[in-house]
Amino acid sequence: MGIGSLTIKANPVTAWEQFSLSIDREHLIKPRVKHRDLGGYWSAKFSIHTDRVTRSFASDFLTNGLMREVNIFSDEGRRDWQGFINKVTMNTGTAKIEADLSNMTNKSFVRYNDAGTVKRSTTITNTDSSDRFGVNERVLVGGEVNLGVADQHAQQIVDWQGWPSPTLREINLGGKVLARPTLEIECLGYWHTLFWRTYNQTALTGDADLSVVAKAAVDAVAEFMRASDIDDNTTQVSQEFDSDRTLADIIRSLVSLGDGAFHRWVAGFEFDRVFYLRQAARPER
Amino acid sequence: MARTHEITDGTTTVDLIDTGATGMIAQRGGFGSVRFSPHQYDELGDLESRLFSERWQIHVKGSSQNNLATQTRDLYALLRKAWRYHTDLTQTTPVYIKSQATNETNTRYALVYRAPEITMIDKFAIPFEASDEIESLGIAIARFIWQANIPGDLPSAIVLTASDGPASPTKIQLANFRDDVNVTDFKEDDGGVFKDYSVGDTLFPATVAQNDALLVGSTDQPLHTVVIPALATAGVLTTSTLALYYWNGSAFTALTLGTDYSVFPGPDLEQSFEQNSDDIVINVTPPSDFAKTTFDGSNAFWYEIQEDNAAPSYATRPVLHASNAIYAQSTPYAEIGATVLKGDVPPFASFRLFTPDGGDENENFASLSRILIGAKKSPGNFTSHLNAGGDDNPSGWATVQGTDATSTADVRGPAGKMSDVIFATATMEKRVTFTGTGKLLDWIGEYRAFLRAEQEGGTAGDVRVKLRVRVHSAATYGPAFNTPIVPTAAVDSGIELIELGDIKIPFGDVIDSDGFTSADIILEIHAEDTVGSADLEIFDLILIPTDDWSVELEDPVSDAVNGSSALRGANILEVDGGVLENRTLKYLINGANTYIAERWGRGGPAPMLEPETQIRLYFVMANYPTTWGTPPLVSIPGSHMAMELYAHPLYLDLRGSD
Repeated sequence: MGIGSLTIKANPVTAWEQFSLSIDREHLIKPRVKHRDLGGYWSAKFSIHTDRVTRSFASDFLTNGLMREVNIFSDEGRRDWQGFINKVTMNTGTAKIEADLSNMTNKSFVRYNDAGTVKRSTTITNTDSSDRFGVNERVLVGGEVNLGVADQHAQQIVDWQGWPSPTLREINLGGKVLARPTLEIECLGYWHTLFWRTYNQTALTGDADLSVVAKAAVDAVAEFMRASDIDDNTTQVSQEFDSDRTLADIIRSLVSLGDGAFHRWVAGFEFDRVFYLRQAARPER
Repeated sequence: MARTHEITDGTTTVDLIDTGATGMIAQRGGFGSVRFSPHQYDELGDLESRLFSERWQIHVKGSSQNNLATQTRDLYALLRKAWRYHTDLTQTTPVYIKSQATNETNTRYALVYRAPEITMIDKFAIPFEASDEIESLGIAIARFIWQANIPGDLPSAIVLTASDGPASPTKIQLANFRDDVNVTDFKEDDGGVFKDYSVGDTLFPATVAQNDALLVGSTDQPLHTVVIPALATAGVLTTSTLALYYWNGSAFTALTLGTDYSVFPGPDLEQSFEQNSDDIVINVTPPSDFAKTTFDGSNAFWYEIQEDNAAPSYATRPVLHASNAIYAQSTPYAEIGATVLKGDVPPFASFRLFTPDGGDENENFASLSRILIGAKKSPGNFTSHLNAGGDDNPSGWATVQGTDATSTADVRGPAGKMSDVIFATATMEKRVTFTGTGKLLDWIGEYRAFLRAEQEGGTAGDVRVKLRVRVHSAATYGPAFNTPIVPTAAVDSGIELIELGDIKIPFGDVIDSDGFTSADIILEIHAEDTVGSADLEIFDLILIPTDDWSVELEDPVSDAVNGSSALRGANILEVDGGVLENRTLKYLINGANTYIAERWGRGGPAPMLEPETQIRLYFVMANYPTTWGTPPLVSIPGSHMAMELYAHPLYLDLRGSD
């Protein structure tokens, strides 16, 4: 089954702009998608034919393209993949310019040791960035410092990495300036946004059903999840989390436990930003 | 027509076989050979795979060297323009080759993509210097496939197979459900004096007064989509306020435009009766208390188009079509006849989907945000919609209500029924079974399966559903395929469009010699509610074919507050695979003019409709129920569209007399 077309539109969660574009197969170069049982829609990559790529079109994507939602349809009109633009690379022939969400951090705090007591610094947030791209947080380790220094460290990270600006990545002095730049788009499934959030929960203690714990976690911090489809799993797990683990890490740990009947479990995102957590399908023979 | 080979933009033309004293003419064999693959346009590949490369050797005769410069300048300008048409948004005029062989009956046209190389001779050599000739001008050309029409020209709409209405339509009405309910009564109510209307009759009393009305009814079940064929004479309703009413069991009660009904072409009932270029279509999502009553001896579900103005005055009363009677549209597909589409490969095709009026900034069935289309070649007796309530399913289909399921009257549903599941048994059980006796042959193919159902009570997701497909045997150990278990996504929000997944019938690959005579197909809807106390109302099972061609058209929701990008009155959605331009656009209609409003998303390839083949196009329409852009979508039987189809037949090489 090949790719029939794709649509790129404003991210429905951050919804800061008005944008919609359909690209049919003949204007896509080397489109490919990847699915995984754990994660669902994993990644996608394509280039846009130069006929469609004027310099202003490319500039718009470099400046505004990150986090736009991408929906990919098969050549039979079926929904095949959904995610967001994570990286845009424009190649002019003599230079490559890149905009990348991978290293963005727009929310941070520091765990530091103050005279033997582990404390948290102030949480620093770049709200402009989180409004535009969603919250992407990182917890730092501060060592033996005081609150002021810890706050400064958190602020520094957010200042440096809070906004994914286009960056010159490569200069090719021997190259020829292309009449029209090429545009390469790399996308990730919404599963990857679960790596952007940490989940700490200490109000509830003791054990609970795995499915209940998972639902509480995604409901709390999965910003890009629209709905969840979580099957019952009565495996007892601790519902207390206090070690600044990412939500993705927690979910991976939970599904790795399987269920009481020794079935493998998987989790991920499917179309319309639905988070699933269910027993894995039996392998085909 | 004489042999022709020229390149033109419709204004400037360069003749490439000019036998005059000056001009361009190909050398003997100068147009060279063309290499292509017969399946080139069947494979979905990148742009370069759609191109045909040619290399021409042209002899240019001039009256002077300056004249040669002028001739070649015109040619270069066209070739530059051709390239810029594909790369520069400001150059919107296509450049094309027009060709016809000496004894070929019809002309062919091919859009030029670019000329990657020109080879020019030495201008200080003979014969250029001596006799004002360019002996061999080499032109490399990349063009698209030959087509029957000038690129960018909109041809006449194709004549389609009749649906529920008159024969040979060029614009067909599309329902969003399937049943057999039709209009049984069409009357005039002149202050309590009734008269049956026939074709050619004049509507409304000669002296129209307040409360005079047109009555449309069905003695069977509630009507959803009523079509009055284009009037013979448009009315001039000088002073009028027409409103639509329904019988609620005790009185006629007003329906609200946009909330309860929509009208085509709109914008309201009066103006719909004041035109005769389109059918008048009234689409209703009936209120739950819609009841039968008797007027003029007929016990029916009645709608009343009533004159509410206190002092109405009609300069001209509308006159019904001379031969086409009022009818109910209850078919959700359009059919293209077997000899309609021409060419060697699927043509460039363009659908124009017209939507009724009534929608506004509020989310409702009169403002569409998703359209699914699936094509099926030689469909036989295939039916996309099977009614869960059991009524009006095609002959050969039996519907059995399963565990805790009861066929129940519901005016919203197809044939006025749905299957009501109360979950006394909460586990995943078979709730509705459709058995098609001997139907497997016509159901061979791949489909996206949808259920239209509403969960009542509980929390969204309490109810989970799946489809089980069985081939010929209903035994529990018989061959079966299950779709994934899918939860509902809404509660009490209308008829949710639940995607069940993809199915393939039968469960293996089919070849021509495989036999399916008398083979049955069994479709089981399973459901559970192990969590809460919800009920499930199942309206129908829909299978949209995907293996011939399928597409999902999506509202970009560019305005999440007012839903400005949704389809509503005076709108057209054009799904164009290359007739004008490969694009999907929403247009606004202003009289005879249409204006591009914005792009819609097209999920899937451009239309691919096999020529010389009977094809049915099956449709599902959906809208957002409460918040623009927030799923799940609902799909209401009262939604409606009208469709026109345009095509440019395509030819790999000669067109001949096609």
